[in-house]
Amino acid sequence: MTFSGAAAVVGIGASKFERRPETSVLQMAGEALTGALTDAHLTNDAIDGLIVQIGSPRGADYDTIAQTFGLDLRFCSQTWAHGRFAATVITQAVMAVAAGFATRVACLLSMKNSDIGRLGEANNPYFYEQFRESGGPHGEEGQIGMTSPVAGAAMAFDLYCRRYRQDRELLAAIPLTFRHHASLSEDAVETRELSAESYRNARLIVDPLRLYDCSLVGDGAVCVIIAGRQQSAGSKPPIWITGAQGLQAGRDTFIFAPRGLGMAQQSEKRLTLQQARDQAVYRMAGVSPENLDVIGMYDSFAPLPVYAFEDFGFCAAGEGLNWIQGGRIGLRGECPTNTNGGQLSHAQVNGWGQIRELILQLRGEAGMRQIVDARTALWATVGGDAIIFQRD
Amino acid sequence: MPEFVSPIVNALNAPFWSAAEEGQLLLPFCVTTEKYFWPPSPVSPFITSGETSWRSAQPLGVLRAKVIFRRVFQKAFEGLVPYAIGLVELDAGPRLQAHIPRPDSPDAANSGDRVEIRFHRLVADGPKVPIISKSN
Repeated sequence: MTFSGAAAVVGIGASKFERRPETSVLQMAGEALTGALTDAHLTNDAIDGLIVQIGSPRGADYDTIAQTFGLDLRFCSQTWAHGRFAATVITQAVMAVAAGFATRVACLLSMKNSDIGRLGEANNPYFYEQFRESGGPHGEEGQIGMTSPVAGAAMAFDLYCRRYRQDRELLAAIPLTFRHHASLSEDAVETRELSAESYRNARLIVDPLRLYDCSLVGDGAVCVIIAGRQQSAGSKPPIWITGAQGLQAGRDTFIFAPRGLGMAQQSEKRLTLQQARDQAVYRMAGVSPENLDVIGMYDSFAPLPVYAFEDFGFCAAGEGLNWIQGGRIGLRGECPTNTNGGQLSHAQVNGWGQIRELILQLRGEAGMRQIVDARTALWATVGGDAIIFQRD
Repeated sequence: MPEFVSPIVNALNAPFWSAAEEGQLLLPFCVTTEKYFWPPSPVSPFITSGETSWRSAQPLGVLRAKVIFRRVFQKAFEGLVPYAIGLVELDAGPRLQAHIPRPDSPDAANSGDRVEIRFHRLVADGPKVPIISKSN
């Protein structure tokens, strides 16, 4: 079974992304699924596989989705209630198609956050995770007051700035650039331009991270239909998955830090630039960072893309904050990143907004944000998981 | 869900919390490699099927990083805001997170400082938890 090029994205759909606390998560899922089917010129019965990223209570589980939309499925899967599994869901879908478990897999993220409390607070259904045995998934330890994912991101950023003696104000390039991209996106949640002064003066959420370093709490759904080679001829040009690598875990990882930063029980051994440029996703697709036309980076918090640029070989460890300056990651830069605004400004849908944007860019459907002749795109996260998308 | 501030204590991690109630730092220890580790594990994380024990450790180390909470997330700790959480690299090896009271006061520990971990209650009905103070 060869993975690279075994399957393509043939349809994509999305709901609106504004906060709609009165909406059913199934209504949003329906908008995304129907949109993707229409986009692919397919009917319900063409879908025989389903992978759901987030189940109940923030989302809807795979069985509810199948029953609600009248799907008849022979391959189903679902990942846990967090972000971090977007690339894994698509990778699983390609594997399922390549190995013959399904012919067309709908990958679905549908979630609603606007009717629940903030993570870390008692009225959020995930309150309990800060007391997870041996610590929460983002470094939480509720018994000492270390609560909410943003705190783990803030700790890693403080450690990073100290280790490399970097000025934290350099981070502004991430939210300011992405906000400008969002101002050109019809369906972005935040489209007002953000000034450097507003960024600097915004309230601290958990010091050293401020309001605009944090993604938007929001609602929304995205559906991506993956089909095998035989089923890829559709109404739109297929976007091939030519490279992928999995989410990493171990004592040298921390969800909001690059490998080997020194968080939790991590070593202090960062990837060399050569190691970062030799990541499996590049080898599988046969491309280098220089070949990428457009980039999507997981950005639930502003520092995360900085680390991912380092771990995916765009610059050396510790150089990320300087590397992102000067328009490099903007629409006219050499590495246009999160071109619809990212989770920081477009919508917080666990990275699926950026995966959708990469597909639109490679199809030439990105409107005012279009990168001319975009052929190769990278989706990557600081967790190590990544996908390379290419068009013919 | 009703708010609570107590960790999940079970047969694996109880020695740490029992020692904390006595004001002592007790850490899991790999018998073969003679290294402390964290978090608790039934087998050593350093070698396959490696035997472990619990061993007392010097509560001393270096503060590597910290974050400051200036808004309330947990109602139980409302009266403690602002407080900080520090990442302490123990001389014994593992890194632990611990609470830093009154981070804006001149005698609060800063990153790079030598620090000591002590065990105190943050709230009257809560457990004793690791608290950071500057080491003399």
